Amino acid sequence: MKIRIRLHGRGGQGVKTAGRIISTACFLEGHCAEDSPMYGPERRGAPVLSFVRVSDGEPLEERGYIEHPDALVLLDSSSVSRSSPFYGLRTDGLVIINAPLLAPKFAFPSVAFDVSSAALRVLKKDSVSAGAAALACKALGLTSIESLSEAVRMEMNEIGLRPELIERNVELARECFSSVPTVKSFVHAHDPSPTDSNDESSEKLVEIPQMVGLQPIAAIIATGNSRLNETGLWRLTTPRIDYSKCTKCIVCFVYCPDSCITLEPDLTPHIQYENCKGCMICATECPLHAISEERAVPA
Amino acid sequence: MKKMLTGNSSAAWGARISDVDYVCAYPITPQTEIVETLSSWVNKGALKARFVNFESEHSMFAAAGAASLTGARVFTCSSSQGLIYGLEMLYSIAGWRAPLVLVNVSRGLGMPMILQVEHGDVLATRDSGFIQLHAENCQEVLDLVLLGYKIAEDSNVMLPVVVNMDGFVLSFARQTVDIPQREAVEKFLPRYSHPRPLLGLESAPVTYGPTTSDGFVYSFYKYQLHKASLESRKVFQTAAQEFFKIFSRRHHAVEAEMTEDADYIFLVTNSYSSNVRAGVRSLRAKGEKVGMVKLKMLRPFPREELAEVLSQAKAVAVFEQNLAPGRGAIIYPEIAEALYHSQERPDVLLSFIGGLGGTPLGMPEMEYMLKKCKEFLKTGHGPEQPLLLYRSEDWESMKHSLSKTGLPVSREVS
Repeated sequence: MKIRIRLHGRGGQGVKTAGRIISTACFLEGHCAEDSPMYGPERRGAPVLSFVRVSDGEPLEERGYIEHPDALVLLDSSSVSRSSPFYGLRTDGLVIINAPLLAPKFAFPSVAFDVSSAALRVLKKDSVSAGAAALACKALGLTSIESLSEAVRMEMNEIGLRPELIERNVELARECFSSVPTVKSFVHAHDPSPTDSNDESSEKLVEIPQMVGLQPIAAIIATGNSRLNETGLWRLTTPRIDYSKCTKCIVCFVYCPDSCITLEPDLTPHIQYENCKGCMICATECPLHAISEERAVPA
Repeated sequence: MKKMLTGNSSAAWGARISDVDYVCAYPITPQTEIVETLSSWVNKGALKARFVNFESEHSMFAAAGAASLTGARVFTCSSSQGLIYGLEMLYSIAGWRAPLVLVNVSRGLGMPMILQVEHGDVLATRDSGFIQLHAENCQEVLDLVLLGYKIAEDSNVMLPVVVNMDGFVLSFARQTVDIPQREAVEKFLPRYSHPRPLLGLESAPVTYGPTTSDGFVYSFYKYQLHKASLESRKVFQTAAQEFFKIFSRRHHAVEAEMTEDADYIFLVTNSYSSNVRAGVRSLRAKGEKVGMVKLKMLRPFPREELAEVLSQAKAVAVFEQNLAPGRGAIIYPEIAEALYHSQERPDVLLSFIGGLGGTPLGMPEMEYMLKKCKEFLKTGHGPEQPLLLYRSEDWESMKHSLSKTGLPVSREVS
């Protein structure tokens, strides 16, 4: 019996740490576990993934990214509306989400809990890795609360947290663990998880043609195509212009480091949210304080 | 003591329990975590070693080799472009017969620049004189570092060892690793002492790496290098037996699984061996007589062991994560040569390339390789080799990427 978990969140939220807590808790529980984060040139706020594989003893003979997870853990509820994290999820797969609930339009079984609010109360900040890991351990019936608490201590110690902050993370984890039900019992389940083999076949391989001209050479001549990279997905805070205060002084337009603010002929500024990373420099620079900060909204 | 470790921290633990004296470092993704870990241990006093950061891989390797000749146990590591930048020194280190251990974390060689796995880097060092051991999982990383020092420092060998692990797939993945007790390691790996250390006694000066203009001198030492490398096969075998007695884990230069009755054998190295094993099990469940052979030792090349285990099969599919443009796969011709003089040998020996930059190896690839072997066996006609594995969904994504470059859509060569 094996279970594959894919975690989605943003750089800085603790996606990697959450994955490590789940797998360490499983390890302490006596399961066979493996975890790996997706590394890339991401920065704070950019979408980040982490992968955890667990079995009750049989060797985990899989490597690399998990394309067909049995469960998703969504640390950041805004990812649901913005980056569609459900790809490859098995039809009976479980969605574990840091939010009051999963919007009914997503027809997956789900376990939802507002970890962020709990974290703000217990830790005084929106740091959700321990809580999200706790939801997964409980919802999937992976570990006891003791193994989870110990795993939180080990992993938080590893990243150099102060002892009192570690204990508050344990408190958060225990609260989250106790607040959700076990939906699937990992230990007693039969093995329904299809290996990737069941929905893949050798027909999926192609011979790529030899190209001539510039295309076979790794070159880019398009200008302005960074617009195609929707860095708006990285945004944790959103700037909003209050047009009743705006005097069209264009200071925001000048200071935007990503040229995400466009001007109408009469110099009215508009923020292009597809690419705005939410750095809030415009809000800082606006001499009339006409730009306010809005936190990411839940799904 | 069992712990969850990444491949990188497993390599660092291998160096720590080998009680290395000198660590030479230069950062490069995906290897940096190894030297970060070692430097923090040296700082805390958990590892009594000298840790030095260098200005390049070239000087790092030079220092590593020289330090090894002073009688210090030396550990160093690199990856990809960094390894290639220091390549010149690797030939020198082997020529100096400096028995250090170098961990390489395999990463593709640009261009285009990538951080994910491909074996072109480590295979570029294959003719340097280094012994090459390739790891499948995080436990093997640690084990092969220990075995590496054991073989390297053997008086019949005295050669450097490169231990290879796959970038990302192993370097950043945490698995359960059994870290042996210090006493057990001391039993397996006694203190290293060089027979004539550099900078030893003032009364005992020594020159290593002299120059010659005589071919007979050059040939003599090159032949000695070759003979020592060949000798290391026996030394590896003995060391692996001792390793099993102390640590209860087996290691072989060539590891065959489910091959007894196999008509078809998949040959593979490094971390994708796990994917192949899972695929072989699935194919077996469907009634296919398949097996796998994992090549753990690349240098010296275990020719006899390979010939013995492969000759009984009808067809062998060699899967490699490297590409020598204009030639094909790098290890494949060596397999063909190993089988050439066998009385019995497979009718079909096919070369497949995949997993470059971390592309997947799963059932589509396994089924495709098996299908190609069967077709060849049936018709007697083989495809043009190597066969380049590429998923159709990846091709769709690639076409989308090309559309964003702004380049005119090019013709395809028909």
